[in-house]
Amino acid sequence: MPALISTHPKAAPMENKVFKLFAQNTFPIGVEITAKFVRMAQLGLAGGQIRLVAGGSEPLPDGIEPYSGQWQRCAIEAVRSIYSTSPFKSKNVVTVMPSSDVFSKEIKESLSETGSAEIINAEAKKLLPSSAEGALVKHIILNENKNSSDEKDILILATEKFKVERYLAIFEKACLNVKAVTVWPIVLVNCCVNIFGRRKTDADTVVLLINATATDCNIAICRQKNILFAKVIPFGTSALAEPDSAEKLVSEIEACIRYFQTTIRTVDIERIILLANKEADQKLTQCVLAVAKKHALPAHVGDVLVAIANSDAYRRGINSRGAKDDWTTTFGLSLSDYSPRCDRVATGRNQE
Amino acid sequence: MDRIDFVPEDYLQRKESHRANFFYLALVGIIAAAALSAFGVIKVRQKAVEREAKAIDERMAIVQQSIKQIESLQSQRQEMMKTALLAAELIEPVPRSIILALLTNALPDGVSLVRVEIMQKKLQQTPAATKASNQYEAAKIAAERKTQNQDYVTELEIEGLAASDIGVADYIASLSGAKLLENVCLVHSMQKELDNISYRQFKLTAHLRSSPAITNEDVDRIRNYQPIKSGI
Repeated sequence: MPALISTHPKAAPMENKVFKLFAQNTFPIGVEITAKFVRMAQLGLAGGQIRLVAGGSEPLPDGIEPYSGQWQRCAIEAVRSIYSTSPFKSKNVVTVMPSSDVFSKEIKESLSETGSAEIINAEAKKLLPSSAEGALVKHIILNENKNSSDEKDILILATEKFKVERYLAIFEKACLNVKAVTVWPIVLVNCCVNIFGRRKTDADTVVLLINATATDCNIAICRQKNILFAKVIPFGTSALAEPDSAEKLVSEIEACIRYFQTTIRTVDIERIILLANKEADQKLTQCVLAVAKKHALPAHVGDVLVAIANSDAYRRGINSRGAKDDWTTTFGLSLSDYSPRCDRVATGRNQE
Repeated sequence: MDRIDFVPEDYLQRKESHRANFFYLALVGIIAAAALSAFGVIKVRQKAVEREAKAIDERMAIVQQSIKQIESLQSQRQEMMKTALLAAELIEPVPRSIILALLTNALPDGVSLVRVEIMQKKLQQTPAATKASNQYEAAKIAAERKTQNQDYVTELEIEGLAASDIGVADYIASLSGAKLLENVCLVHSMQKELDNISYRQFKLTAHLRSSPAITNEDVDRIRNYQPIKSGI
């Protein structure tokens, strides 16, 4: 029987060329909408490397109540303004629910085909402040490499439907097509895998990812795309100005590491990456360095703006010089659908 | 890694249905536009054909008028031709003096003329029993008959006295040889006594040729005829 796939040595490059012709070279637009700002970024592939296609950030006016009707109108205007001023190449967007709107809980259960949904819904009911009628419940199985017979660590993520619909309404009014509304652990892991963990040696490295916003500090531990642990610390960069706040944050991060080490004894954290702007608050960097020093771990500041090669970022809508904006979430959102080949060598410049 | 997506199912379904509705509406719009444009094209073509038909009708009316004019002109021409023919037939083709000179010049010795009558007669020809296969042929035959029936012939009746039948025969022979005459026939020749001298009284008929080809020389010869004196 003749082979269906051509084995001719010249055939492979030709097939690659054909596939490249139809390959999507731009990813969806990552949009992060918080109470204070709207940030959008679209990445794409150029010559096999991830490049910035377009981006933009616009602050929302002070003095308006977050998530109110006025805030929603301002957010729509900001999205429209950014979309119209920057050279975005599609209307598909991926957004993230703010970590404050997502209720999460880690449980240990041995999942079966039939009863798993009931268990997760019952746990989600306990999480939500209102009735579970209008709730959207998702779950992530942590450490998926465990045997199927063992109890699994399940991260339950639940949010209220009207909160999701609030974001969907913003994008509908801005004439954009929502492709997905995801959650922060996925975004952090996307950033780590696609930008800072593309070496062959990174395939089995367990990494502690830290990303801080003004109000929260998101912690995720992963091995490549396999999420092992995720937690939100309700202690953001705005709280770091207070006395003794740095110690508090360090202790929270250490508590997470201890919990991870006690629950998952098979693997150790090998690296810490602070996903933040290199010009960001030095106190946060000091906190992370203190944790790394205590646990004798190498620590990096992963600045996505530096890692993604951009010679003309300003022209594409992002002012990278001296700006303290953290583009981790938006870049991670844009990379939601991207799955790089594991043998590809990282092109980003990680900063130690 | 699990794919976490908080987009509600009903939102996706609503969007899908919106998209499908839009697609169907667009399809209906396209079909309606196509039908309207086809209708418009047909209407435009119909109007163009109507204009063309109107122009053809106008041209037909003009042509019909000119055909009528031609027909009336042709009938006028036929009338004129008939009149011309009639006039030509009424005018004597050969002067009577020439005919009398010819008849006199042809007289042999011992033959004299008593009476000469020249008259024109209509030539009645029996039509050939041809059956017309169609209307056109019938009309053609009828036209031929009409023209044939209107032919005229100039007939001469000659009466005279001769000493004997030999003189009559010579006279007939000389008349038959004349260019102007044809169908010279003897009607009768009978014995008649006049002053105790017997003569032969005869009657001849002859037809004047319908298109006598006589020249001025013939006319001169007839006029300047010198009888051959036999010396008796």
